[in-house]
Amino acid sequence: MLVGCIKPFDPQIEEMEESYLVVDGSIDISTGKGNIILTRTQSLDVVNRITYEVGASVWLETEDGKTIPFIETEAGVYTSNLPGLDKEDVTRLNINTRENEVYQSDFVPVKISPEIDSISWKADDEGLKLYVNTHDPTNNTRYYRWEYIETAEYNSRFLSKYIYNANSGEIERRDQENQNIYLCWRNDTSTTIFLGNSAKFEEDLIIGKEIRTIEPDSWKHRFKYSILARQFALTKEEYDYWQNIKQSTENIGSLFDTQPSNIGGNIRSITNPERPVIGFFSLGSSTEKRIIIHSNELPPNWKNKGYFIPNYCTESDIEGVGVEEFYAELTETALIIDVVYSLFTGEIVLVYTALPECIDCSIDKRGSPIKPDYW
Amino acid sequence: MMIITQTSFAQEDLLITEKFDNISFSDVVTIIESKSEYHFYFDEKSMDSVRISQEFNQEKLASVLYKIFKDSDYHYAINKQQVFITKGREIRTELPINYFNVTILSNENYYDVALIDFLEDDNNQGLTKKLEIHEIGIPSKKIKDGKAKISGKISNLLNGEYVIGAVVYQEESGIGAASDALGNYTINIPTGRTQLKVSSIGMEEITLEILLYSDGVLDIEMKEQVTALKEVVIVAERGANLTQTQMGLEKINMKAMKQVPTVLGEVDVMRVVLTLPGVQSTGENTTGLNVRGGSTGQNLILFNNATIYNPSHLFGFFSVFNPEVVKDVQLYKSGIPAHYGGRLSSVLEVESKEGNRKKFSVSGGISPITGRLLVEGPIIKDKLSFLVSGRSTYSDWILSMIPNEDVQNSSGSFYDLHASITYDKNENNRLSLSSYYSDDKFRFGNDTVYQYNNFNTTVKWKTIFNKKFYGEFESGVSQYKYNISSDGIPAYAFNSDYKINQFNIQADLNYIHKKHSFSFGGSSIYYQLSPVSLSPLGNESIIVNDLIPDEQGLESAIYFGDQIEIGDKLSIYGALRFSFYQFLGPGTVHEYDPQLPKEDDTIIKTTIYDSNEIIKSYKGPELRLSARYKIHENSSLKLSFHRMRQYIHMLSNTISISPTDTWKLSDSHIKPEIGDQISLGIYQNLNSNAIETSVEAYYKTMKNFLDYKDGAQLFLNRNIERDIIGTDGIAYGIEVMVKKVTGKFNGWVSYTYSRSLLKTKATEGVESINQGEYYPSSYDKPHDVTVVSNYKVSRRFSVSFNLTYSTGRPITLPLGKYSLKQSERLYYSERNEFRIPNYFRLDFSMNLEGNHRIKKLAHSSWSLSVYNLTGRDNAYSVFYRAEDGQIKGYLLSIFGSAIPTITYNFKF
Repeated sequence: MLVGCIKPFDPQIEEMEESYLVVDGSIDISTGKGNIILTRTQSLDVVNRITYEVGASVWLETEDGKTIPFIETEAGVYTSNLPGLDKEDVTRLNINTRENEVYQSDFVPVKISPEIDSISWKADDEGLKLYVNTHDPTNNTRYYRWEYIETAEYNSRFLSKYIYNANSGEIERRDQENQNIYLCWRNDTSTTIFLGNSAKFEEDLIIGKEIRTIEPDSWKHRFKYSILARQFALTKEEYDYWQNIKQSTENIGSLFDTQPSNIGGNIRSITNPERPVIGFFSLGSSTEKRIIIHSNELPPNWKNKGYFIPNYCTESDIEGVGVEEFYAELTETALIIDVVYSLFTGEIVLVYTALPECIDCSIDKRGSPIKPDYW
Repeated sequence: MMIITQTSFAQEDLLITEKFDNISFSDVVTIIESKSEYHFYFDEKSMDSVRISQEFNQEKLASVLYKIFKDSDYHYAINKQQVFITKGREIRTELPINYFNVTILSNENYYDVALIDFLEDDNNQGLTKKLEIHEIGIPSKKIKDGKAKISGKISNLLNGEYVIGAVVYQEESGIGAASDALGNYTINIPTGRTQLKVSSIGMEEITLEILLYSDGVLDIEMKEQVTALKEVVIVAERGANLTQTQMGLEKINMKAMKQVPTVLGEVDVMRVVLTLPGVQSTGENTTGLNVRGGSTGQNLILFNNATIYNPSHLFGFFSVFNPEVVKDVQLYKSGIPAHYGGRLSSVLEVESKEGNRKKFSVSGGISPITGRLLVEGPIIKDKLSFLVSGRSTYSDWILSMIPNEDVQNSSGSFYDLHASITYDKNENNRLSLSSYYSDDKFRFGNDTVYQYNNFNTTVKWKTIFNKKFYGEFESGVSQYKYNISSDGIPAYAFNSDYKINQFNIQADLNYIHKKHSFSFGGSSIYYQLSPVSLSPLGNESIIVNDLIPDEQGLESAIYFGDQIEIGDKLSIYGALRFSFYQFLGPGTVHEYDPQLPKEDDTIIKTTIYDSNEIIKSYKGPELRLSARYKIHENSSLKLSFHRMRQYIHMLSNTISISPTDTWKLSDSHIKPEIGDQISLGIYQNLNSNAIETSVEAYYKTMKNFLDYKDGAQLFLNRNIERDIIGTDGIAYGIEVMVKKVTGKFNGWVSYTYSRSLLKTKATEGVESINQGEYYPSSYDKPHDVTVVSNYKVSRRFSVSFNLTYSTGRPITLPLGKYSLKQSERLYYSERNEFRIPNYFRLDFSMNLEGNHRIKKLAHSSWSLSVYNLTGRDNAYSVFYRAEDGQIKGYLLSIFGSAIPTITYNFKF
């Protein structure tokens, strides 16, 4: 009744006149392959479209004069398998855009992350909470960043028992092992920046850094849930950089907000020093850890609460069509739930079908029907 | 029933021929007065309902009055040219000698002296008025022409408290004087038969009929308004706006404050101050004041002369001043007198009541948030009195209203206590002791507890050496501290403390010599400050002790000033204050390469200082000037200039002042803030001072203002100078106000146009903001309209409306976005390039007082208020935030709906 509120609002900001280079420059060498992604800033009203910076030359340069080139493998994505890069190297990033603007970073060391000790979890009224725990016995890391990829299993509303074989033109029983569209696995990547530091601690120890909370009624823990946490070691400067971005894009809207701002990273324009450039170049080797949680480990009253499938898929949506009609309107995406055979002829006379999204769990890239190997 | 007592036969020759057709008695009086020398004395309100429809032909006044009041409960009496009308009780115009302990003289040559006790029926005792003629000096048959001096003491009839700052004023000559710290006044006016008006906030204005022969003494007792409702909303002394040299001074008494609609039922000093022109804040949840374009850390907030470092309770929703105990509040915005110093923008002086010297009394109240209680009374009657009061929260439902999940899951409480003792050794010496303590505690989320306290004690001695020389000596201690502790994860359990201690001594002396009123004195403040520290809590904690060394400083000042009257029209106050400050060891000072940003790498020298060694000292003069010129009877012009120097700075980079804001002393890097302000005002009173109009304009410069680098970290920062940017500021504005101070309908309308702009010294690099161009401060709100109104429906019932409109405050918003780390991110504009939507709010309140018999055991009152009557979603901030990888725009409002509350108050 008396509650103050936060409501959606659009202050009508004019379009940005210029766009600036954005460098996703966190190179993770643990995979033996490094990526630099170049994009551009956009106006606020642009929806779901990223402007990639294509056709640039990108290379690393070590303090002792080695050069490591990157190749544009996708639009705006520059890749290298980092030939000759040594863990002791101090390196900087060079970018030369196709419009001949030259950008250069500060020299940075390679930061090797210690192992994640464990991922712990707790289920309480607020939901399933997941925490990372780590330490560095040499007390050298101190500043950390985490990302995660979580995987959850779900099923479509209706099980498709039959499949139309285009080669033979026949309706056949579906092979649930190899032609599975009922069980899917969906991956979601963290969208917030998780930071932690042990600068004020005696030991370089991080305990119980929360990285994820899943509500009790979420579909994600209906069957089984898995999370893969990835840990990066940062320099103090990089930590401060991400802290500011987090502060001004995620932790905003409180009663005691500080001034949001664009804090400069370690990359600058050589062509025009006044020209803003966004991003921080760093080289590191990450570590990762995965855990899997079964639904039977979670509170019993959480059971069978959430569904991922569209809520308009109900029993009454199942449509029975005559087989002739089915063949007449046959499309490649036609999915069959079940069939009815004639008692007399043994032929299929009726085909039960429904909207594809109620039958195929993988439709619209919602998830993959291929079971992950760790499952 | 009708009794006529007629003892005089003045103007027997006046014959009245009039036809009255359903007109009010007031109109009848106006007609008669206009045609004769008669003057009527009566209570207009009690005669409101009397309508007259009669015709008179060549009739004497007595006969007219007889006919009018025949069969009514009214009585009349005619004494020479004076006509008295009373209700329910007759008047005799002759009284026994010494009946009211006043000497009654019959001086045939001049005037008959009539002493009328003009009492109403018991229900209206609050309106008791006295009409008497006071003879002053040595009576003589013939009064000498020229001037004579009247002096005396002004005190409160009810509790004997001296009335300070009461204005004694003779209208005809325009001469006025104010009572000093011990209630003494002296006024030099032409001899003869005249009237003296005496007014003071919270008191009934009185008019004294005097007959001045020669120099003499007149002690005046003023009566407090028992009926709060009768009080005007905000009372500056009537007419004082014209006579005082001081400008930019706003004075509010507590009774007036109680009529202003409240938020959540708490009468709040700071919220009322916020309705004054030139005072703004960054949002509804803060009691941080921005006075004439200054920051919240530039106000000297004094409670009984002791510094209050954190004036807010519960995140800033309430101020720390218990409304029960506050007597009045004064806010100096310009022309600040020389005995104040140390802050750039304003002085807010909150004065508490003194214990009742006559009788014991208990008062209190209850609102949805707090309960309040005050006990006061004499220990030795008329000599020694005490006052103890307290206020405490009893629920934290307010937290559930704050639109923030963390806050909603929190719990908070606060209380404040105040005690004072006043001792009147004799009429020339008064000693008082006042102590104050406030405590706030809240649990944020599950495991973090914030607690902060204000504590202070002052001893004050007011003394009069002789009639012309008096002074005030004072010593005190003020403390502010906070503590944050968290024990959610034993390994990370910590304690964090901050503390500031201030010890001060002060002497203020006044010497009156002819037309000069000299003031001089000095003060010294020793600061001891423990910056935020971090320490482990419990055995398992792996937190490392992080103690930042204490800071010490000594701030002293001496001043000398003179207030001089030049003729009747011009009054000038000029003063010089000289302040000096030492930042004292022990301490370590880094010297940085002046060409480069302050960083570890740019330190060129580090010096270690011993205990009490002077690390850095600053000093400088502060000029204070005010002048008033009376253009004529009803208008005056004022001009003032002041320079202020500030040696202790509030560190805060949040929108609103937060409980974790700290104070920092000037040191080798942080120079004193210096502020100059020049202001000009023109004042015009209309309708015999019932309507006051004013226009004040000011221009202000601020040097060494503190602003912060982008992404500045203030918490646990050992080298705060690296995150602070030296900034200069300018502020200017014009404040227009029309105020109606009397009548059933009173209140004011004000409009302010003001700007507050800042500019960094550096034009590029991390120490610059917006390339060194001027940018608006976070509280730059150019247009501001305030309407405060109160309508008294009856003596016991009144209705108030408040209206506030202002430009939205400046804010930094994103210009664009980009994608990084699987989410959209924001690219921000330069600082404060945008504004939040404009602010509009209408409040309403109703006050219902109980019966007002003075003899009644208990008085009680109810008030109902509705804050934000229109339920408008006023923006506190507008922001964009990334959620699930997408940028979304939001508007945050504090009170997004109408909030009704009921409060009950009692006194017995």
